[in-house]
Amino acid sequence: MDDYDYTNNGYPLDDDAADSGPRVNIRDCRNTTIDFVLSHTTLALANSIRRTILAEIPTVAIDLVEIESNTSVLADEFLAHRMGLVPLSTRGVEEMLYTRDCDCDEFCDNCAVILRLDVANRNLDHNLKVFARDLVAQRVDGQAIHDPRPRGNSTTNGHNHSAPATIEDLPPRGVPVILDENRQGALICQLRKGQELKLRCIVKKGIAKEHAKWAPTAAIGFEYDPHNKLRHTQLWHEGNDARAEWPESKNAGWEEPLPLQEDHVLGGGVGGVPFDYEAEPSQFYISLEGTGVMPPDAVLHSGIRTLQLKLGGVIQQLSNLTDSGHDTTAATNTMDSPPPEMNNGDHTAYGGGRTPGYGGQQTAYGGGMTPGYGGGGGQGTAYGGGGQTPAYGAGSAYGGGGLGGATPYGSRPGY
Amino acid sequence: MARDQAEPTEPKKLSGRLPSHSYHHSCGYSGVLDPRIGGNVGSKLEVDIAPDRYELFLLGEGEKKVTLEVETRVPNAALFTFNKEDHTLGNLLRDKLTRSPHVLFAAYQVPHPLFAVFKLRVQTDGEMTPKQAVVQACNELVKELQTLDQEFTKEWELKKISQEGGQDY
Repeated sequence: MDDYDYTNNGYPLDDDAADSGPRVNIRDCRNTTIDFVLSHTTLALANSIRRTILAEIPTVAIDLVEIESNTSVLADEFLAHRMGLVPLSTRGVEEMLYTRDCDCDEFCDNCAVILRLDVANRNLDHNLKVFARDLVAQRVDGQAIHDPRPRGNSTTNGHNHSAPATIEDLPPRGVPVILDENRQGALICQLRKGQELKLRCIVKKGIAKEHAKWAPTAAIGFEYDPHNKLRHTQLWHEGNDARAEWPESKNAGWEEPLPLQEDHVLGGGVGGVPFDYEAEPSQFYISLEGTGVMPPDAVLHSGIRTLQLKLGGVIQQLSNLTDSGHDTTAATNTMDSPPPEMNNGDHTAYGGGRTPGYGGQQTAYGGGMTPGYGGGGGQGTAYGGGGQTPAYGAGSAYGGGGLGGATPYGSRPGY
Repeated sequence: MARDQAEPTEPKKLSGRLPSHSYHHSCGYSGVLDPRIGGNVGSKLEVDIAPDRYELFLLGEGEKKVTLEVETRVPNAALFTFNKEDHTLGNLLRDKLTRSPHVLFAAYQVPHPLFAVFKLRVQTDGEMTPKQAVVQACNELVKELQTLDQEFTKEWELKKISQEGGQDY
C-alpha cells in the first residue's frame, strides 16, 4: 500500500505502465448488479475471482427449520428447502461466527438469527399468500430485532434500480431482503381456508460450496476475447464463414476491431496476420448479478478478501515447513540446527510477524477492519488472532479444531 | 453377524492416486459376501451416504492445508499437496509460478474430482527452492488482489458520484 501511486490519483500516466496491476472499468451498476471490464490481468486470476465469488463468499441463510405446525399442502422438507432459499441480508456477516466455530452449545446470537413465521388462513375464501416479509426476525432469546434504517429509506432503493445499493440500505443481518415493488419478498407458500403454518427458522452463516443457498450471486457473466482471436473456442458454422453466422457479442465493441480481410474464426490466418499462438487474454468482461443479499461492490470486495485469506493461509502453512517438507511447529527446534532457509530471511516473514507486510494491525492487507494475516505470535491459528475478525480468528474457519458438540450437520431437517 | 468372517468389507479399488483417506466415502460392493460372485451366505451392498458438503472446505482432524514432498529424482523439485482446495487456488498458483523466471516447471492436477485435493509440482532453477517460489507467488497474488481491490473501490466511488450527478438535473 505504501508504494501505491497517489501522485496521479492512482492512474498510471500512460498505457506503458501496464504492469501497475489490474484495472477496472465499471460500465454499469444498479441495485444488485454490476457490469465491469477487468483488464491487465491474467485469465487465471480473473477466473479465480469468479470462482471465489460464486462459491466461497460467506453469507447467511436459513439452515434449520423447526416446524411447529404445517397444515399447508406443501411437505415439511419441501418448505424447509424453500425457506433456505429466501435471500437474507448479510449486513455485518464479517462479525458473525460460523456455528461450528462458536463456543455456544447449540447456537447463539453470535452465530445465528431466529426467524419466525406464524400465519394461518382462518376465514378467507381465497388463498392466503405467505411472503418472505411475514418472517419475523428475533434474537435467540426471543427479543425482536429492530431495523436501524430510517423509516422510508428502506423503501427507496427497492424502486430506484439505477442507484446501487449500499450496506446501509440493507436490513439487519438475517432479515429477509425485499426488493420488489410491492414490498412482499419471495412467495413461500399459499394457505387455503383453515390451513396454518407455524415455524421457527435458524439462520446461519455459510458458503455456497456447502449449499447454493449461501450464494451471494444469481449469475456471473464472464467473457473474454469476443472475436475469438485466441481460438480458445471453436465456432460451429454451416457455411464457409463463421463470422457471418454468429452474432457479435456486445463486448466486441470494446475490443480492437478485427482487420478486415482476416478470418480468425476459420483458423486459416488467410490474408491477415498469422495466428499468434503466444497471445494471452488480458481483458475480461464481467457482469455480476447479485441476489440482493449484499451490494454488488461488497460481493466483489468480499470475493477478493476471501481469495487473499486463502493465499495467506497457504503462506502461513508453508512458512511452518522446511524445504524438505518437515513441519517446524510439530516438534521442538532444538534437535537440529535451524533449517537453512531461516538464513535467507526473506520468507520467514509470516511466522514471526516481523515484516510490515503481514502481522501488524494497520498493514497493507485489510487496514483496520480486518487484520488480515496476523498471528503475531505465529503459533496461533492460520488466519491471525486479530480481535475484530472472529470469522477467521481463533479456532479459525479453516483451521479444523474439530466440529464441536452441536454442529448443524448432525441432524438437520433443512435438507 | 457374518461381518466378522468377511475380512475385506472395504472395497478394494483403492489404487491409483486417490488420497489416503479416500476410503471414507467410497461406494463399495463387497463381492466376498455375494453368492453370485463366490461368497458364502447373504449379500450386502455397501453404499455410503453422500459425504458432507463441508468436507470440501474444512480441513479434517490433524490435516494440514499444504504438505510438501521433495522429488528425489529431479533436482530442485517438489510436490505440494493442497488439502481442501480446488482449481480456484490450483490454477491461480500454477499460472503465477509459470511466470516466474526461476521456475522451470509448474503444473497441478486434481487426482480425483470427488476429493478436494490438488497436487502442485514445482521445479526451480536452483536460485530459489520450490517452497520459496510458491510463497513468492502467493505474496505477489495477494498484492495483485490488493491493487485490484483499491482500483475497484476507486472506480466504484467515481461511478457513484457520476450517477448521483446524473440524477440531480
